[in-house]
Amino acid sequence: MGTQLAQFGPSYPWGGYLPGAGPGVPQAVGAGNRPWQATPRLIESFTSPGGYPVQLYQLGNGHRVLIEQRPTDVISLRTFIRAGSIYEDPIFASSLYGQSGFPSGIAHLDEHCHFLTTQNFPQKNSWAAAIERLGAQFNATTSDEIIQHELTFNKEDLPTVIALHGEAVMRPLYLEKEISQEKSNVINEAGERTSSPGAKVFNKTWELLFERPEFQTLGSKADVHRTTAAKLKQFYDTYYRPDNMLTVISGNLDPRQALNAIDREFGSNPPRPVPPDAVIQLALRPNEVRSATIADPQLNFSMVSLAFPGPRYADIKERVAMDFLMSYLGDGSLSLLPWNLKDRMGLVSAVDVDYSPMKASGVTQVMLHTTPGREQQALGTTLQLLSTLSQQPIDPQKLESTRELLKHAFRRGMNDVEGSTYDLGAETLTGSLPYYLQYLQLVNSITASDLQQVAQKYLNPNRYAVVFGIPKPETSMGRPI
Amino acid sequence: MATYAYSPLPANYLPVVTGMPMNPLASPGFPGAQASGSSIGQPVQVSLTNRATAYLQQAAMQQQSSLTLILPINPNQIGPKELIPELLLRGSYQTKAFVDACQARGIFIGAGSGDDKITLDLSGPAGQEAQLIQVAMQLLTQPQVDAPTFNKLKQDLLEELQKQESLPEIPLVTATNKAFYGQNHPYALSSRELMALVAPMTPEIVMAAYRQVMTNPQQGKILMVSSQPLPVQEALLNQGIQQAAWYPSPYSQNPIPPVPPLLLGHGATGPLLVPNNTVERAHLFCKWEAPVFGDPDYPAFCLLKRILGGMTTHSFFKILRTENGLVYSTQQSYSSHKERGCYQVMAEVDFDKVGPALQGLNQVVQGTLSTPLTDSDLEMVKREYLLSLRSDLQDVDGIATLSLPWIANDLPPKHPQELEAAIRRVTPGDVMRVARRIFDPAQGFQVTGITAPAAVLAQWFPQR
Repeated sequence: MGTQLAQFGPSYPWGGYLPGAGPGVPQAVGAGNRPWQATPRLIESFTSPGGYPVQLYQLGNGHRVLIEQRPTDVISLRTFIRAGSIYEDPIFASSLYGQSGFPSGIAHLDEHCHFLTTQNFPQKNSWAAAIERLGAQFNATTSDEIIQHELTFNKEDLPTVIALHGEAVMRPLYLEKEISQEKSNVINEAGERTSSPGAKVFNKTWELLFERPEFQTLGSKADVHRTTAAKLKQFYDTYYRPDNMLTVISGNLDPRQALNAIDREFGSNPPRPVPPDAVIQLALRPNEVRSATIADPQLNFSMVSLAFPGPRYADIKERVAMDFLMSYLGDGSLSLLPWNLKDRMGLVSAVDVDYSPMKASGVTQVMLHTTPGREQQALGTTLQLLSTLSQQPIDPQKLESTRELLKHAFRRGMNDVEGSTYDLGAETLTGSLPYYLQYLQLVNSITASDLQQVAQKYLNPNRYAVVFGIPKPETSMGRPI
Repeated sequence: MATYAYSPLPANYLPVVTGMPMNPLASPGFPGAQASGSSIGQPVQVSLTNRATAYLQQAAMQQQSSLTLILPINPNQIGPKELIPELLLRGSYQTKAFVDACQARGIFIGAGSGDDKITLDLSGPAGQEAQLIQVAMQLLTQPQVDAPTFNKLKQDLLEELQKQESLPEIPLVTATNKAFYGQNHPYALSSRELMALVAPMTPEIVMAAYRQVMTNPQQGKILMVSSQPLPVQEALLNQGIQQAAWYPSPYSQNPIPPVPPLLLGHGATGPLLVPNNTVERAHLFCKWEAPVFGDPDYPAFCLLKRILGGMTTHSFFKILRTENGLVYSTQQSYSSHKERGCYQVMAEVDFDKVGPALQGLNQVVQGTLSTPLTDSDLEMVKREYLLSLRSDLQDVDGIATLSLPWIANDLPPKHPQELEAAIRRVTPGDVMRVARRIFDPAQGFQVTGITAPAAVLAQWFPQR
């Protein structure tokens, strides 16, 4: 049963190849040749919130591995790298971010290159063909602070898929000709992702809050064009280091088989010093409000994008409290904002709330759709409603119903193996695994006073960024006025 | 170049969960209740005490249960069809409070409408099936609608339809739908046309339409997926019906009229040019008539869809992105009305790439028709399909999603292993035959549309 791992080509050794040696000069580093400790070490065993056993290992070179056994025949595999667009030169100058020597968009372009050509699959897209031939699905994402490569596949193909995963992550081949065409794809992607009014409003909100555009990850066109294969390789060598990486796998698997396969692929990456960390910085000063307006001819309604700071990854209890507040504010027809702004006052046609943590600051957002001309009224009323969270504790009955809702939603999420590997990995990488493991207990512990404190700290009506997206009339010639 | 081998798919590729004991329960009243080698039972059809048809499916050791009710409605009653789902869940303050309270208890509720159907779907924790059914019956049989809330919901819907007009693809979708289904067909209404049908609605009109729906439970269908044994599921449903007193009306009811006839489509239409001076990129849209759900060619069509798109080695991605760098992605979708299936592809391109993108789409079609499909390529696609089938079966919502299209199209639902067997039986010849059926202009029906600023369209299509 299972696939036969046939010949991968002359440069595929058991132990992988030594990065930094340059394309065309692979060196085999077998398990017996590792100058560091060869065998993985069990760090910790625990139970995931879904009730499944999890083991955390550290490979001899420092690369960490999380293995969860759960009874699904579809296996989810991810490798996380502590890297992203925060490690690039900022698209526009800011006192908050220094120069790194890596052009904007390089993290994202590098992510693309891992699937393009590799040491043992030097023909463009032949690696992708190999993966898809197994019926597996692959993807990768790059954000400001995290890069992750992911695969979903049949349990029968575990050894082959892990080998192919290692091939892509650890043995990319940077060829100028292929990269040149991939840049077109990256620029096309940027075009798709940035052309909608909502994307532009969101990007501007990020700019006001953090003095860097949300589009930083896509890079400027000029920077993408000028990025060379050598620079990509330098980025890869800098950040794809064992202590900077984490692999998570979950499903119906033999943990020993999985660990051995992962060690084969990632255990030969030589340990090196972890590169300096970089974080997204909140640019808003205390009691500062920043605002902007974007007029877009595609709009026939107005958007109000309101953003506040939020808890960091490490602020575990505050994050849970913020989950409460988000649910109280936006979950269900009678939640605070939809009921008041939409149903009672008819001030908005849609309201959405969300928050996301990052390493040094989180962001809490409220997005409103309203009629042109009512933007300020929608903003003012929203700020008034939000301030009630700071001024008085929420109703005890509402607190309890929100608590139950969060617990039910969390339990439902346990069914999703792909979601679970993402949560396990992201929280471990950012040092906040207790948020995930103890979520239900934390939810049970939250009090009305906790919510009030978090609201006072983050949902400050004197400290926020707001972007108005409004319709822009076009001329009869089709050009904007 | 590296090569590797892979073994053929093993037999009994599904069940979804290994190591789980087969549930030995099979009541004498439910022949075939358990397909062998599976922890997901065969869907079984029963007639409930109100003559509604229920399909019951047992799935071992699930954390959730799923319940879906499908009720037919006159397809020409567009206004009520759009508003009834909103009223069921948000028709009054009391209803909203009730739905929110259900959510706090872990019962999640959704409502929607199709061509000639209203649907209500619920999922909740396993072991609470009785409560799930009770919630469904309460929402259906005791709708609470007050005039101010109704007017607010109507206004919300009109505003959403208005907002849709600003999405660049909506006018394009409308134009191609009208060319595909018929200018005034209910399947092809524009946002403005929908608004014109919704605006005159009153609570009285909508509730009259709803009463017609509810007084004909014998036309309704219910799907339940749960870890409960099938006799228990049936008993709970009948109990819920009895408590809600949801029985057919003693008075004769008008039969539900059919959908108006579709435009007879043949050959290729377009490209339809839809000027939009606000867009920053051109949008391309192609629709082809495809096998309807349940057509004997449907399994082969499922695989053809995979060959064309969904993965990076598949045709649209390969031609439009990998080889020509024209797009970042293409979006494909399939919709099946009873009378006509529709396979569609959408792409966004820079203005200077409209012509090459159209050529690329055509290249994919021609390549599909002219290049024989090999056994190994077909095997690869089957593996992909069955992997996604396996993924779908991880929970009750996924299991229900597999059965629902069959039920909604008045077909008996299939067990996942039947679906698997049908996929395995498909040959390269079957796929090529379906490709010709869809893409050969002599057999198929295609509509193409493009939206871009007027000046860009004039540049690429100076004759039009």
